[in-house]
Amino acid sequence: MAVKTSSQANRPAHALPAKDQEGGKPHNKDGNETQSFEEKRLEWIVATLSAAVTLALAGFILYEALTKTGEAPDISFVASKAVAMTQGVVIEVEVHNDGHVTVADVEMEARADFGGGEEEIGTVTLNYLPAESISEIGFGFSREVDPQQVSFRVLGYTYP
Amino acid sequence: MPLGMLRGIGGALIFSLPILMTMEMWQLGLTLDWWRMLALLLGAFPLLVLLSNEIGFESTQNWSEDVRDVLIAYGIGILTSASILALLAIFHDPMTPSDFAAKVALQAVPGALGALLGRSQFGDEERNPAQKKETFVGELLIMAAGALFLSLNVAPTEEMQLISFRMSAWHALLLIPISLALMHAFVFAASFAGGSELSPETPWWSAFLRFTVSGYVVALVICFVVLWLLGQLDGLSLQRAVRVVVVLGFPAAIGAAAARLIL
Repeated sequence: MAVKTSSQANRPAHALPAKDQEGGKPHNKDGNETQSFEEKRLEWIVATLSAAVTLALAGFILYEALTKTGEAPDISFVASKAVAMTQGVVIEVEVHNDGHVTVADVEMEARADFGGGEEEIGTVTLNYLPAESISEIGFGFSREVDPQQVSFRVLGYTYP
Repeated sequence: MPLGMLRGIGGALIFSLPILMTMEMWQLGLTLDWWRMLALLLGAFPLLVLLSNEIGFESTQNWSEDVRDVLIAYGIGILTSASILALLAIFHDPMTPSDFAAKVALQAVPGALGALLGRSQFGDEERNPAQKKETFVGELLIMAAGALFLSLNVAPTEEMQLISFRMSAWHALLLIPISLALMHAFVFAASFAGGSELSPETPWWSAFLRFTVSGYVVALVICFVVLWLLGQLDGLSLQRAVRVVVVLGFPAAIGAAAARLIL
């Protein structure tokens, strides 16, 4: 990418080398070409807003660093709906991690109770379950099942 | 073939080859919502037109010429991407129209950006930037282009999220001043050949606020938009999303600063 062009040396940047300031266009004490009042005002408005955004961003992360000090994930499941497939059915589930820690390779199991001791197990593995996030997944079963009759649990995870 | 077109193809190759050979981009072509892809294609258009006016194929006289140049750049980007993806056997076999369209459309923007900047990268004797009046908005646009280039290269990769997951809030907090310091050093202190220099009278904080901090925020905005359009922030809380943006902001800030030297 770093291919130089001969024209770059001629490029009049906002801040020019001192030697370039001796001739040609007039410059102010900051070493810039004399700018219109509007352009200077725009520069400082953008600079002020940008500084405010950067400080707010840093403040937000600092607040997080000081307050969100939990060291364990908090994983829970909310079954949303059953989606009929040509073969079988999929129970769509929201996986919540309300903890302050991201986990990886999260293995989860859904157990559907069809009554009479008959049950089926579906499993899903998520690459990552970020802290304070929600991921949508689906567990497949061979026949129709009420989402309320399905129980979920975490089989295991690692830390990224 | 006109020399300008060859330069455009060269630029498209240099800018988009890393993304063309990134697995996540092929997958995103199939999984990304159609409206996000459309937003990326349409949203990049005005940015590229402004960029064309600033540093494009050639010295343009009016906006219609810039629109024409950007359309040509999109064409070069699409053709180059389709050719390389076909050469690398990235399309499914048998190839479906939707597979082809989705994968190529996603690569069109980096390809067009590369094609547009190809001229300034490979030199254009007919163009003399010294004749063009540099403006603050123009400087920000050039920085946005640099940030877009580097952020597009890494935003779709899993590593961006993985890094943000591994980092603590303290790491993220430290990354902000380091990004700013590197950015500032890159442009104003390193005195790279052909780069901008400061006059001894310029207070450091003046240049830092006007160019470095403004450029950093431009880079962060570009990062947020790119991550969001590529679906990389989906399901993340605000805190996690901010952290991914700050992580991607690191290379984007360097890209923004470097663009002022390179473009």
